[in-house]
Amino acid sequence: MKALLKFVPRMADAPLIAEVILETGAKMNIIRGSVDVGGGGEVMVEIPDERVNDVVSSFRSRGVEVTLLERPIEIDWERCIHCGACTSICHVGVFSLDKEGKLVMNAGKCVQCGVCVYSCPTLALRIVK
Amino acid sequence: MKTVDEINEKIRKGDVHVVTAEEMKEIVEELGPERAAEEVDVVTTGTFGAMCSSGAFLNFGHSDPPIKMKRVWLNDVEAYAGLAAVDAYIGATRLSETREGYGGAHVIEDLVSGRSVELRAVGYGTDCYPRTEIRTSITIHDLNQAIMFNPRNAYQRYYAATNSSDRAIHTYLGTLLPNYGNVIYCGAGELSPLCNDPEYEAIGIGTRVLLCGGIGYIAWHGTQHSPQQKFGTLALIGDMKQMSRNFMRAAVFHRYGVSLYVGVGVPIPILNERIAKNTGVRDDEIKTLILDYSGGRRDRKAVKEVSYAELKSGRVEIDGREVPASSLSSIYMARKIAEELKALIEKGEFLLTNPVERIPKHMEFRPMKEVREPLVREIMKTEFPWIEEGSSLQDAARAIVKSGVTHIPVIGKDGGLCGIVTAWDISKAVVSGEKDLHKLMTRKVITSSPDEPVSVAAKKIERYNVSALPVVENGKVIGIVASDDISRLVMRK
Repeated sequence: MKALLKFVPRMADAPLIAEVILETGAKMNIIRGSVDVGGGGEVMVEIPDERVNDVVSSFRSRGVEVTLLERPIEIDWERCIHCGACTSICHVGVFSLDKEGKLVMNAGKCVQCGVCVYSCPTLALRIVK
Repeated sequence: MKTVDEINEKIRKGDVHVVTAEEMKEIVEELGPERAAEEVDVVTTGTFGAMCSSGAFLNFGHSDPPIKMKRVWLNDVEAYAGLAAVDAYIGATRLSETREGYGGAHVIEDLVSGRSVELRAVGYGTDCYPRTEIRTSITIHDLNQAIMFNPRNAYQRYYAATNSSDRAIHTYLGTLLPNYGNVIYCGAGELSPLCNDPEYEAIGIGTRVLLCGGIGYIAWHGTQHSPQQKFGTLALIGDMKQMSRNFMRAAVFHRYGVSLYVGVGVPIPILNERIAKNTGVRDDEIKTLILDYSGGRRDRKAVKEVSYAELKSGRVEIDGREVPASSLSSIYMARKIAEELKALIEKGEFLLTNPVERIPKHMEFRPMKEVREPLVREIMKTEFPWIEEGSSLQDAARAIVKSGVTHIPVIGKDGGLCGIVTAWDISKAVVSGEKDLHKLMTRKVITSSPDEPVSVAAKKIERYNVSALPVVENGKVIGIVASDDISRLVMRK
């Protein structure tokens, strides 16, 4: 399960992610991170499904805001024309076409890089924040 | 051998045998072309791709007092109004003047969807059309006519695109990732109308088609029609009032602009064995080139040849690496269109037509004739004062005074250039007392040639700080080009 961790500026000095990994023993994968104006920021992590509860409570006990991303990306099926342009653009394999040529989306794989959002000719995709 | 009339009779009776192009492949493979031609009456094809060369003629009716529209906007997208008073042509790719990611294609989609659109126009103000401004809101039902006319649709096949550079580029074929990161292709391959009738034998001008879900016709061969290269195209016309948003869609290409996805369904009457055989074509027989779109020039480098079967597999090999490939046209929608057309024919709601004229099988698609740079030949003076080799200083001064030209070529008996003498050289002679013209004149003369671009001659004049260049061809002086000739050329532009 992917989760978005939000840090306020004063938290940036402490090794919070390392602390949570050591405390819970969960092998987390850090997918991407960004620093905001003022020193706070956002980190996207992948948490092993069976460890989601203790990892989330461990972060929250340290004051980190956690958003679970069950569907990091959403599609408006009414707009999608099943061209499949997104299938060659996504580097983590969220999109594929089925036997009939219909688009299939495995949203859980999404790392929210955002390239598909502007590459979709009918603007059918949206990053969930 | 069958005729279109016989097939229409079967459609009326309800015993016509229609299959989609995909179904036909199996039938031709199983029964062979001869029996397939006996069994099958019509093959339906389809394509659903972004087709920039699309648009619509609209007639708004007359206001009171009436206006002769000079410029007209629909939802702030300008339509071409250089027609009669209240006719306009809205082009799919024209961008809104106020809204990002909105353009002519969206106006067409909004109209087809029955949504209301703001009409704004300014007029010339004439005795018969006094009004100079109008602003109103219209829907497609308020228009007298809404006629889609697309000068170029339904490409037989198209190039696939990739990008060899180290940055992502944004094209009319979508986002191309750096370092051959992906390949994007267009066209429905074996489902595509013109791929199933590559000899333009069964379809032609006047063929009734399904255009965006409504009745349309092949009006002409399309622009850039290039049959020898198997890049045939069609110009299509259709009634927008019959169209459905399900079979068309406005599209936005990041950092490129707006385009229109057009759904086209073309029925192919199976009149003989040859036509049946052609509709048996498979994706692995339809080849195209992958081009490198990173150069930004007209002639793009071919990376390799591939078949539509390879492209549709989603992976192609480039330099020993597997590269993901995706389509910009929708194969899923192309299939739906072919099925829709099949259903309409089976229900007796869509009759076939006989073409009234064939689509040309020979035609060239040429590059633009660009404005060529002017050449020295076109601006040089061919009549100019000159003096013969061996003339005196006085002869030179006389020539200058008589002609008012300050540079005089000195020409040998053979017509060759010996030197040039200027008013400046004569002034110097007066000061120094030197009387020998041969010593005074410049012997190493900077020259031009008739086929030299004027810009190159201008640079020589500037760099060597001279006022004119003798123009030499085959060792003979044929003219002279001076800085004032170049100034005149610039003024003319």
